[in-house]
Amino acid sequence: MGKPTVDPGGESEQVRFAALIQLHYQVLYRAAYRLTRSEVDAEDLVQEVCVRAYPRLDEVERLEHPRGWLLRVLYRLFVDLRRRYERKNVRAIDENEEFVSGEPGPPEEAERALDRWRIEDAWRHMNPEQRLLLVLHDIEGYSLAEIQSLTGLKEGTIKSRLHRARVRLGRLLQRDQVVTSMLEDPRGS
Amino acid sequence: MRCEDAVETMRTVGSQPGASLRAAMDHVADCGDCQAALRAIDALRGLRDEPTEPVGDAVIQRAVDRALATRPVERYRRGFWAGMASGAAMAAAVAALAAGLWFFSPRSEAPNAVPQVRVALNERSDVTVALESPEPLANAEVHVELRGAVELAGYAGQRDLRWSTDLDRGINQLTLPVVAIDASGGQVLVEVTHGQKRRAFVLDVRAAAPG
Repeated sequence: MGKPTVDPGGESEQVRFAALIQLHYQVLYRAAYRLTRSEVDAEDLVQEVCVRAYPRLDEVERLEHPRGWLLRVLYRLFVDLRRRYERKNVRAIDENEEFVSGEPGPPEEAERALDRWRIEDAWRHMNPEQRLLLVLHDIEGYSLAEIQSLTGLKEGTIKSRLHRARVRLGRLLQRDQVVTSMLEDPRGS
Repeated sequence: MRCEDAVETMRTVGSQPGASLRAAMDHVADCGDCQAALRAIDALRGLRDEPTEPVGDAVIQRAVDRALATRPVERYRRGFWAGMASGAAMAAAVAALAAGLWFFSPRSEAPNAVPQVRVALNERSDVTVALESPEPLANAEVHVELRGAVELAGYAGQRDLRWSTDLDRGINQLTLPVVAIDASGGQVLVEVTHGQKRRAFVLDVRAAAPG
């Protein structure tokens, strides 16, 4: 009796996998960055997706919409690996991050930078489930039904959690605004 | 008007009838939570249009390389038979290693009962079986047969896998990345032969809804 051997995965499989990832990486990375607000964490998260996807390459290739599957894995991983992306006491500095020079720039640029700082600071105080709902609904524009299929949560649960997440983010942003105002004018006048 | 509805009305302003909008505005004017929620929506709108720098090829290659380096099927093919010291006669056993992912039903303790593992539907679960060998065995043949709605991650569609491997003296563990692709579950048959010696065991794989 012949003994078929298991194909350990030759070069062609690796090439096919590389092509798949090449095709979808930018979209995955953008979604990961929106969730983590960190280039380092976004890269790490997409790498985890790749690790999960490679053993299932055959299945993924057969899918009509592999990108949807990859994004779903990314969203689930983000929540499953929540501890890795929880608020950090020491903020990871991205390789390409620009430091504020301290020199005065155009007022609108400074204002935009301040807004971005406020959002990123508030974002780090949100838990991964809250971030996920905000990204899916308010940034990516998924409908409640689509989020339901992605997360398995009931529509009513999504609505109430989404509202709580928005309220929390709004209050964090307000707090930062107050602190910034006090720093700009300690007398509060 | 509920907070969620008021915020939704304000968020989709322009597509709402005037009466609804007025009611929502009245609600929001007196509701700190809704004001905070609208502040968040406004801030997130800015993020929606934020451009993301395209990632370079080196970063993509890093992700691909890492996936190729940690491929689970490679790991179990090459190194699954992890030897552990023991001198008992050759006997089959089932080892529960991935605590929390799956368990054996108490029925498995009954004579001749088929051990059961419970795995999450459509998710990879590492299931480990152990084989005790009294001596090192070169070129033992491993045969894994899959029945029903069960697959091995990385070998989608393959029902029958065979390969040769060396066994250490003592307990050798075989970890299989099992995926239940349907709620009906299935069975995994593992058969190890070396010369006249043969040992086979069957696992019942039951699917459980994730989460």
